[in-house]
Amino acid sequence: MPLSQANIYLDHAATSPMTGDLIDRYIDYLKEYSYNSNTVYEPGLKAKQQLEKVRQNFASQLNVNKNDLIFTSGGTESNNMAIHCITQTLKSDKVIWYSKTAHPSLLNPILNLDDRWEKIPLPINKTGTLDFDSLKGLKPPDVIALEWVNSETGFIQNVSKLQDFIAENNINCHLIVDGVQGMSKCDMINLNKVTAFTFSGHKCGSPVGIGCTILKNSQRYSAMLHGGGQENGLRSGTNSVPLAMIFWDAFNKNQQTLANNEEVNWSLSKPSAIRHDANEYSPYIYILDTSPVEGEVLLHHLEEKGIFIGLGSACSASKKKISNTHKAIGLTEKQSRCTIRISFTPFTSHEEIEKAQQAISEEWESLNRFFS
Amino acid sequence: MNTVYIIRYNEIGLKGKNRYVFEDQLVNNIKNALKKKIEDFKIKKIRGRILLSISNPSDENTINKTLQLIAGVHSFSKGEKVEENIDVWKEKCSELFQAEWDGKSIVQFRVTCIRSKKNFPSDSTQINTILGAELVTRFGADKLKVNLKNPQINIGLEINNDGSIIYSNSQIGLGGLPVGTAGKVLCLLSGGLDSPVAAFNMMRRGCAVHYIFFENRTFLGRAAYDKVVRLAEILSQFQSKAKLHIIPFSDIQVAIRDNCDQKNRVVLYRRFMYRIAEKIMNQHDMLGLVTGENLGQVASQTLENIKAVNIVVDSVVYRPLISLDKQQIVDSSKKIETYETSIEEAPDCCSVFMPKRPATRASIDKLLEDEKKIDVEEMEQHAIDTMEVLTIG
Repeated sequence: MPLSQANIYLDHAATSPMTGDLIDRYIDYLKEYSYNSNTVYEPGLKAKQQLEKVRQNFASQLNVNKNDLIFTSGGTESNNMAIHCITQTLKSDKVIWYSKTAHPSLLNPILNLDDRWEKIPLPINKTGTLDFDSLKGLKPPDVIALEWVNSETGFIQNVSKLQDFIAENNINCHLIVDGVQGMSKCDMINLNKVTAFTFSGHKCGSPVGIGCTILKNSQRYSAMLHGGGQENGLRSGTNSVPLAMIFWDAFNKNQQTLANNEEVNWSLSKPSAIRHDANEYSPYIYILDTSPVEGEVLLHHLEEKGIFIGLGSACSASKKKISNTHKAIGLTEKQSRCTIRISFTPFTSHEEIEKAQQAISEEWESLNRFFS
Repeated sequence: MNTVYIIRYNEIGLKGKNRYVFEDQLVNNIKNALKKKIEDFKIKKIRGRILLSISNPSDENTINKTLQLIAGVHSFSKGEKVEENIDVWKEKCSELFQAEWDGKSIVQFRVTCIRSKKNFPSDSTQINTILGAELVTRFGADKLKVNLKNPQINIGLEINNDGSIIYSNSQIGLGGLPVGTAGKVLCLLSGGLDSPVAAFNMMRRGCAVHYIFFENRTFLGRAAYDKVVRLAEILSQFQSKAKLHIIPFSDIQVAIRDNCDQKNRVVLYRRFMYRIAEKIMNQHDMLGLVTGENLGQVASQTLENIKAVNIVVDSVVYRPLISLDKQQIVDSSKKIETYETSIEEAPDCCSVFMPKRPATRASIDKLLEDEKKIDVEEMEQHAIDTMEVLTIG
């Protein structure tokens, strides 16, 4: 259903719906470039040119080799691909350090690795972020995998410091970073020591169905999906050129808006945001402690007012189990139920934020009595 | 149109002078169900049977599926209209027999001739003998054994005034009575496992079932609404159009929570539901309420609580599942294909403000005292005034 002017959508960490200008442009791309980019007649060749242009644009923006940029169907495939490609090349007994607070699309492929892999959860402090002091005592890793920005709470894992740690300690390992929630919303991290970096289109405002894995020295790896050998043999399947084009446009639009924007100012004190001074947070994701009011009840009351927000994590909203991240930051099952997640895009206006803050505060106040 | 289905009914045959009402309704229901799916067919009542002729044999799967869902159909067979001639029958019988038999194992069989055209020269028994003997001669007396009681292959022949139809296998239908012959009822549909099965059971006994759903959207969101609509759509394969009444229930639940004894909440919710349902029922000349209540399943379904709820209405409340075990209900819901939808997680409104210890034996006097604290009449009327009505099917 199309949202009306009166609606306020604040669940961009789940998906960022396409805006009108991008929809128009996407339709134009569909009309113009819906051809197989592997064919040798003119429409196919033109589509191929566009695809390569997009690849070059992303590569320049992120300062990586364009041949290492592989288009996928989205974040889940990208994370699976990164884990698959890298772990497949390492044959004997190996060690992986992984983040317990990572999105299931990164965590589950790791937990499903066979027994030859020793899986060591990265030590974290009480606020959920990496505990660097405890890293030294661990068995040196062959692979480290973690998220850049946590999808449920917005905390930022200090990937730069982790890269310094790797360098200082002469650790020879592959670093895999899930960049889905940080991409086009936070200042880009340095990818010097990163082997694989993943991100997704629909979190930036493109349609669902496209994502990207940056895989350094990609020619070394073997594919997860076999077939026609597209994407340098690493991701077979006919490319959707219009999707790739709109992916770049959405990403680029976010980047430019971001550069000209003041930072989001979320100032609501009741219910308050869970933010710890020791952590750095994305200004685009907030988790609010709504206790004693259950997050889902507050969500439905806001829905009635045309305001759409998220629960702890959109992926686990229908399951009643406490999420790993909530557990990691010390929430009990009950506390976890009493949270909501607010997430923005660079286009969210101050007016929308104002209105949402007021509505959340009012609804929360009026619901309090049902839970006391 | 050589492909003809013989559709049989069972209980309708017992309905005496009203029999034609049931037969006509069944013919109509079959027509309506098929109209949505296939283009060219003819349907006709003959003595004790319904004949359905189709011109496109590739519609066979659709017809099988459709006939299996129509209450009142006891069994049906796909047959072929053939010339009224003993040599043609011998040929056709052998063809059909061969299609059913693996050609090797010993097989128990019979030929069943039903002859409503009485001026035909041979009687049914004679025809059975002639055709049976033909099969034995053709396929071997060592392999074919006649078994009239439990045949593995039954070749049927119907001779009526329109000609003759020959068929082999029969498929079992739903049984019961044609939807619509018993009148209209209103079923309280919740989205759980029970109420869709209750609705189906009433349809199978001839009721046209309409629905009422109590929604607490502000506390529970739209997931339950969406689920109930889909359940009603699944059920619509057994009947034609039905109305789904969606009653906003949040305000009533909040009023009960704020004013009444917490242990009585669920029973009070249900008393409101019953009264509202009865009002809707009366507005539409329906003849009863239907619930999925099942004795002892939850705290509100004890004999005491069912009585405390039932007492608020004058209407008959049908509870087709009252004595079933949960597993039987689960099995039924799988059969009618509502199971997968019913088990999707979406809380129903009785779970809102659920007290730690709900009353299992609510006292009617106490309930009346509780209700004095609320403007029952006005709240119910407001809920009815703001209801949404959907047409399903």
